[in-house]
Amino acid sequence: MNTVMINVNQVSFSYGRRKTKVLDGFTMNLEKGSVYGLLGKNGTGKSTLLYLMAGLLRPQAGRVLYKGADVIKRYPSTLQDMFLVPEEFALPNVSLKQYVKLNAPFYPQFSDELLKACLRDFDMNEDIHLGELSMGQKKKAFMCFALATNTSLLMMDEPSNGLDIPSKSQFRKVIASGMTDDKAVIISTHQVRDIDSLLDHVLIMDGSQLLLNQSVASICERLYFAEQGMNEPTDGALYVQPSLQGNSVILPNMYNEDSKLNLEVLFNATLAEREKIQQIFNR
Amino acid sequence: MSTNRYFSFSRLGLVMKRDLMENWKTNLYRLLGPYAGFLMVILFSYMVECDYNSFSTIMLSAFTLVLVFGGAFNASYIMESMNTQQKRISYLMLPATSLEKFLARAIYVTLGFFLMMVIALLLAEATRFMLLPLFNLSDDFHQSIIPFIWEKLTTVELMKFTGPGAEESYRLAYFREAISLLVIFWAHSFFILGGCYWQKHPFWKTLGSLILVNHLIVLLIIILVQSLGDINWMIDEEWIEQMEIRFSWITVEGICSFFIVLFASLLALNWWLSYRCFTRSQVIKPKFRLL
Repeated sequence: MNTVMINVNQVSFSYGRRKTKVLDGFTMNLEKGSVYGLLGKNGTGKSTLLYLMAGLLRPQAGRVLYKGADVIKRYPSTLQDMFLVPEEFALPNVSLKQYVKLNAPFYPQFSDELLKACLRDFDMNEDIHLGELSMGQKKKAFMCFALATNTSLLMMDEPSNGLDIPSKSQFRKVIASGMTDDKAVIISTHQVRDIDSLLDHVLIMDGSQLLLNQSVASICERLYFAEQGMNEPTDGALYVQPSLQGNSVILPNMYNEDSKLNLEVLFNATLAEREKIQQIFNR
Repeated sequence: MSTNRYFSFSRLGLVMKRDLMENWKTNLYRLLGPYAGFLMVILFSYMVECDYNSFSTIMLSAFTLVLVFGGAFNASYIMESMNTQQKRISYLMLPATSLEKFLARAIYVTLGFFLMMVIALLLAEATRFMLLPLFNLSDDFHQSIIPFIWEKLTTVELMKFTGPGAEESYRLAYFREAISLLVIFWAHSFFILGGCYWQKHPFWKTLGSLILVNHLIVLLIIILVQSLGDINWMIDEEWIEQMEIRFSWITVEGICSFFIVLFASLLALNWWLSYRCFTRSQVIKPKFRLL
């Protein structure tokens, strides 16, 4: 069974003919049934990649296929099966009910129950006016609509920006509860702590390259994440990062021990020690 | 044929409904603005106590002006639903074909605008009747001006040329009307194209470009006509006769037909380019090379 949902094939893109390429021959496949975390420093092309996957940017070379259809053609069949929550978005000055009434018919899988459940999780009700909400509340309402569209692919660009602390954990809950084997969620962020417990797969980008493309299970199988006191030896560690307790370290998982993925340390390690980390996964 | 890839009228209706309802305030202001304008013209005419003929002519001029300039202004905002990055994302990601989305906006800025102007005029007319008792005006004012405006806008009238009282023929009058309408529609389509290309201040940018293009066309015509020989530039019956004698191989119908075909082609080109510009839209600003 073909589980590939989106296929980014040899894509090159720059924001101008004379400007440096943001992506150059970039290739990646996303499969259904996973929550992907797309991580990278500012300006590494995370949002560009999302826009390319949504058909909002035209690649200068290569193609992006969604279930076999070229996304740049923007067929309704493609658009009604994917939803993008951008970092900044525009909501009209209407009530949420009116917004749903006007936009839900475009999405055949739209679920009112999912919308209500999501709003409940965010401590919001349906009788809200979108024009009267704060930025954070708008984001929550929009994310609830996005989840309720029940599309197979949900793309989110910096979704936790603007959310308060309780909302960040509620966000993780609503994403996890809306997830099924037929869906894929891709979350682009640099706030790695907000999503580390949510991810099934980690993608780390830098300078138009995909430095890491591994499932969380595979990462934890090969790497061991530990917190050590200041005086404990760090010999053999792939990466050491000072922390409040002492040091956060990444070691090769020689004895198949279980450890909790520390996404922030992994991200820093992948950028700082890219060869070492890549070698571990290439073995 | 799958409507998920091709055109669907029901989806076109959904896009239009979404556009109208989500921007209801803007649409309301666009209706109330011309209504207030017509009302001001009516009140001014009532206060200066002009006769009914002058009043109806003033109202016809006001309606025509609003229709032409308002139409151009509105046309340049065809892609108002995409004038910020957030709006572009929202509109481009809407699950409808590009044709449906483009057509929805095109209908809104053309037929929709015309309909709004008619409603504004009808509202102003209703208000005018309500205000009548407050003014000391002749009984003529108790009749509606709508039939007069409708008749003037839809009737082809013969035009008297300067010269020995000769009127033009209906044949020529229809050509004149056709060319005038095509020029207006061409200019309108230019604003549609400008609206599809420029995100910020599309009206002024298009107006500037239109003036430049017109100057270039006039210059081209002068050069073309001058190359044909010594020409008297006073266009009257004598001029036409002179032209017909000198260039007997060119008929007036021929010239008119040429201009009709020319402007119809330019009109079609502008609409095609506008649609192409829309289908090539990206989240970033449009690029000329993508046209």
